[in-house]
Amino acid sequence: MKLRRHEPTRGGGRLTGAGLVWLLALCAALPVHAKPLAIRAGKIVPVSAPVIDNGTLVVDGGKIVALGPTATLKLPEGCEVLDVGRRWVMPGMVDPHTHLGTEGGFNDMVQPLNPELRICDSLDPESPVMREVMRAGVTTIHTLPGSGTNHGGYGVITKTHGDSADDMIMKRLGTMKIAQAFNPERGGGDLGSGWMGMTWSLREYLRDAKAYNDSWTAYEAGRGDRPRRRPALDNPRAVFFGQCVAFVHTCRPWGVLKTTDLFGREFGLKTIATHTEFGGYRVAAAVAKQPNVTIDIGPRTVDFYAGRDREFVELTTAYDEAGVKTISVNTDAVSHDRADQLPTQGAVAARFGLGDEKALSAVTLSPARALGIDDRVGSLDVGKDADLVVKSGSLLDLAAPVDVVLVRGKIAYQREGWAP
Amino acid sequence: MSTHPLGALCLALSWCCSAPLPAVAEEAVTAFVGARLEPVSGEPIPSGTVLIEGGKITAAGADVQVPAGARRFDATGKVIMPGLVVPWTRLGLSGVPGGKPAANPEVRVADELYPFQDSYRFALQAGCTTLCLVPGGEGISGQAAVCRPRAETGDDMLLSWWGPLVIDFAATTAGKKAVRDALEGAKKLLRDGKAPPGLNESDDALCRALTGEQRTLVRCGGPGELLHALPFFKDYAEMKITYVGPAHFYRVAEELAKVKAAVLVPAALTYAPETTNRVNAVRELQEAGVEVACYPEADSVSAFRDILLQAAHLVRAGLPRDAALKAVTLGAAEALGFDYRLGSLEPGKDANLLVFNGDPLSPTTRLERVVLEGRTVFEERDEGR
Amino acid sequence: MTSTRASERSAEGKGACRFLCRKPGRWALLLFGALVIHLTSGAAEEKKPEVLCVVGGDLYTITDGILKGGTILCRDGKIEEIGRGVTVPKDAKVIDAKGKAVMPGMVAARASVGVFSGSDKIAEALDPMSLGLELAAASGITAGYVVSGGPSGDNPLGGTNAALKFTFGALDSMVLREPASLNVRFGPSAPVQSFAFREGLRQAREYLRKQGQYQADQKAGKKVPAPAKPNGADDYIALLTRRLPARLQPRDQNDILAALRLVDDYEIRLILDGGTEAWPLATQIAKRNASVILCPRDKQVANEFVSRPTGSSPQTAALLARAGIPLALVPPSPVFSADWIGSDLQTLTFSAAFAVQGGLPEDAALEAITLGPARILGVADRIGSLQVGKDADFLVLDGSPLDIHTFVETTVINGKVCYEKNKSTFFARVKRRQEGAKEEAATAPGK
Repeated sequence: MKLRRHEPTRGGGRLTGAGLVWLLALCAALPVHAKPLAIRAGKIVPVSAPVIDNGTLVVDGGKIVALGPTATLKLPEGCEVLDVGRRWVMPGMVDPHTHLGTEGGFNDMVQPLNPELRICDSLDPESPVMREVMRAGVTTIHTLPGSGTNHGGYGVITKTHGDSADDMIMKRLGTMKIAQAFNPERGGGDLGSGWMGMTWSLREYLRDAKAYNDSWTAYEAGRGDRPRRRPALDNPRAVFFGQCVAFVHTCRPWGVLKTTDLFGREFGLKTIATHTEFGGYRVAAAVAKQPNVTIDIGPRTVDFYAGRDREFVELTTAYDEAGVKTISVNTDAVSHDRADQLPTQGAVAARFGLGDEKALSAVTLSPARALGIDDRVGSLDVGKDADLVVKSGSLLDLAAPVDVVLVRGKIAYQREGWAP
Repeated sequence: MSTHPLGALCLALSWCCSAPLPAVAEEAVTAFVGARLEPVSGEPIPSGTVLIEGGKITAAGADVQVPAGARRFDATGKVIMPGLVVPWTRLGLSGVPGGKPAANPEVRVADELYPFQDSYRFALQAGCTTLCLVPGGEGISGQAAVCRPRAETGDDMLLSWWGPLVIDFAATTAGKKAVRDALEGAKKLLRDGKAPPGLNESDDALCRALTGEQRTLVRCGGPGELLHALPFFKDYAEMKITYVGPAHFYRVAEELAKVKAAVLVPAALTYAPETTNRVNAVRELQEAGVEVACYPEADSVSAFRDILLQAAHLVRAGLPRDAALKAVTLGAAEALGFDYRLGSLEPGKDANLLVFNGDPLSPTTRLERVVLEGRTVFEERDEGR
Repeated sequence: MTSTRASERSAEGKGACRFLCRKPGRWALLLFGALVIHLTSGAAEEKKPEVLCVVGGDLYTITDGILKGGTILCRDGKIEEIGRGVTVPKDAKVIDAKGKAVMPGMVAARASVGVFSGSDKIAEALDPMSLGLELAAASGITAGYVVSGGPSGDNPLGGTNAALKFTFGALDSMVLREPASLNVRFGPSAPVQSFAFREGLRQAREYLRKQGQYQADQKAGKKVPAPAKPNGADDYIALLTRRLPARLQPRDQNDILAALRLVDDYEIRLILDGGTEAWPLATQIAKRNASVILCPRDKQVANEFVSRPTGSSPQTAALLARAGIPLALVPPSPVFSADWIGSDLQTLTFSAAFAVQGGLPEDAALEAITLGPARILGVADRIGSLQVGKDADFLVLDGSPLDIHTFVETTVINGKVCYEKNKSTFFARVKRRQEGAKEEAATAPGK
């Protein structure tokens, strides 16, 4: 699909009379968990399915309950209708790699491996940066510990809007944050400063964690004696159960290959290799052969010097051409500077040849799939959360502002001065 | 000869005009017979003879008669070429001064020379019979010293009192001003008829450079700075300039050819920028019509030992063989203005010879003998080392 | 020589024959003359101006709308003709731009490209071989505003800046204007410099007044001493006489307000390089005819201790343009860097898209990356639009100008092709992905 606006953007800074009246009416008409809401739009872009021109999407109880062509879709009883004109309705975006919304730092470098630490414990859902991210159309983010150590702890997956932390947090043990190398060297000492030592550390840890999980799983199924309790290894059990993804900061051909091999092949874990720049794309074919490893690119999305031939190599395209199926982009945002730049990252991918369709997926369904939350977010499908973005153009159309954001069916943001 | 006043005068004059090696008793004539000669100044001679007397080459060719009483070396199966001339190095010197660009034409590397360094001995053993040691410092750095690597004193290292003027040229206002002010000052002296002799050393060096009596070596950090230097020195058309810099000079080969510039670049292959594609900069420059000679890749003994190996790489990458050999001998001598006495096997030139047991550009060849001004200063004694 | 040729020219038919046959020496003269003519006409041929034609493109002139199916004829580096019925000379180099957009080369009002650091004068420190210049051509940025250094210590003035053409490989014709403005440090965030600046202006103005009085006295025949020019007054005089504008980087709104008050007092021209918090002051800025350089993606947190509106706003560009303020848009970073892809100098058009997102009309956004910055830099007589008489600096694009998918196919500077996408390695791997036929049909007209 082309990234086009169908309407000139309304001037900002003015709330038209009609808009104000409509806004008040809508606010009055939509208290929490009220009537179903049908959004009538010029385009519905499910991402998981073809575009619906002149379509309607119905929201109820915080979920998507129906979507289809306006002409044929049957609306439920007592439905409120919001007609957004020629605008598009799309899934809220998912930023799979950020360090936003936490207080007190995200790099607790206590030991080379810190499995007990969970960033959800320092998450501040009231943080103003959450609102900034949400207003850009990003409704789900993965916030994680830093890469100061080989294992910084566990990342949290959270919505960017909600009544409380509980309301917002989707997964406390969202991911097991690993840094294959390329930062822990700084803190190193003992086995922390060389790639040999770090790899050994990680492998030993995974073996230990796997053995612990195996023994407890057996015990819980009624086989074997009660193993010794080691609280530090409780968290990684979720990873071996497939409920929590191994999220590995890595780059360069060696790093990407090692991550794919160690986490994907040797331990068979659902893995996300994140960053993957500085030449990592050269081993894309090996990654493609390991379907449980997905690629998450950013903040650098283009290599120049790694190609060593005066070529700009855009990374999503390079991995895509090698056959990697699930590719997402991220902002790796630490502060408000980059917090709302996910659409730009996607736009760069589209620009350099990934194409609009796959680039759109790279900021919605692909990260959702990679993080294992695609049962809830990432596309417009019946049964998923009603996390929606309304704007007069694609999510990756930088010239069109976000007009409305809904999170779990509730309007979280409306651009000042917009009117349907 | 000893008592005739004219003879004595001649002797005195000849002693004053050159700075020869201290006198040592030796045979009058030395002959290397039956070798393949690579004179550099002409076609290779499959079987020839080199005659040496008084530290100079007196003959080199196919039909050379060896006089009676000459010390004869049977050089059958050997290859003889001129000693390597290193036209730009700071081997064995102290650090380069920092700070603002300045004009220090009176500074002489000659004042810093210390001959008893291992590095000079190894350089000589590697076949480098002439070193042009250069000053550093942004602006007008000073005067280089063209040296023999072996001598009893620092002064005795010098082949001549005067060496090329060295300018370290930067594309900055301050750098250009420092150089321009100094050169304009000297220009004024020449115009007003206050030219040397009778000036102080600083003006003397500048005037000699301005008139072209002495060559000038202008160092530039890269092709970008070179594009500033070329129009800058157009105002000083009589200067004889050799531009010294990195291999990437090849990127402005056309501009260099337009002004018929001479350049010195490292004797090695380089990469095209931001790629892993090899470029033969020496060949690119040569094919564009630029006079190019080479200096070692680094100021280290290993780089000096590898000069001919690097020349071989250049040949393999397409540089004609004779051009490669010239770049490290006669071409380098020309760049310094010392080709009147160095760089080729021609009568009248210094007897600096290298005797190989095969093709000098082959990696399996051994350098068996180094002759410096007629004296063997290195001889490989052990076979199969 | 002249007389010989003249006499040869005057000889016709019979007269010529009699003239030559009488004296054999005249054959030699004739031959010599013919040789001279041959040589000089040959020399004239070499000096013939180079002609370049771009044919059949959609010309985004900036000043005169979009001319569809138009042709630009350039001679000797200048635009000579623009129109639909332009005759293409036989020996012209032709670029076929049928169905393609052609726009003026973009002007980056903040660029750190093509200059060695640490020099008093940019013209003496140009690096014509820098990679940045090659990337500029590939990105369609044909000119830019380079700042070298700035006020340091207690000085309100310092450093230099220049409007440069980003031509690779040669020193000459790179500098369009140096300085294009004076770098100034001023405002409540720099109290010492502010005082010095006001003092400098005050003293210079006093000097100019005395100078005027002195000249009047001289005319009247009075014998009076000439006024002494204060130290460093030249720069202040340039500001007071409005020969050069002051370029200020405001830290926040307070700096902007102080600068506007200064303009009221001294009527200097002002460039606000950094208009992130300028949007609530649009009317006031417009009143003082100040220009603004803005990155619409820059963020500034609102000052919660202040009652008036502060902080950044996506609508800044739109609000400033609506108030009639000359505007230049820039990306977040002034350098080309793979580290900053998405934010580096290649993304000048992204900044334009963000400004449109905030309500700036598309044509205004396009102007803010071409003619707008050219005007602010004082070089609009030469670049910034497709107009007869201006430099032949333009781009042939593979899409519409502000579409973020669009790449530059050909870059022309001074009438010479200096970049072709399919002959360069930079974007050799970039190919537009084929979307479905459905999407082609969904194309909105007139974009």
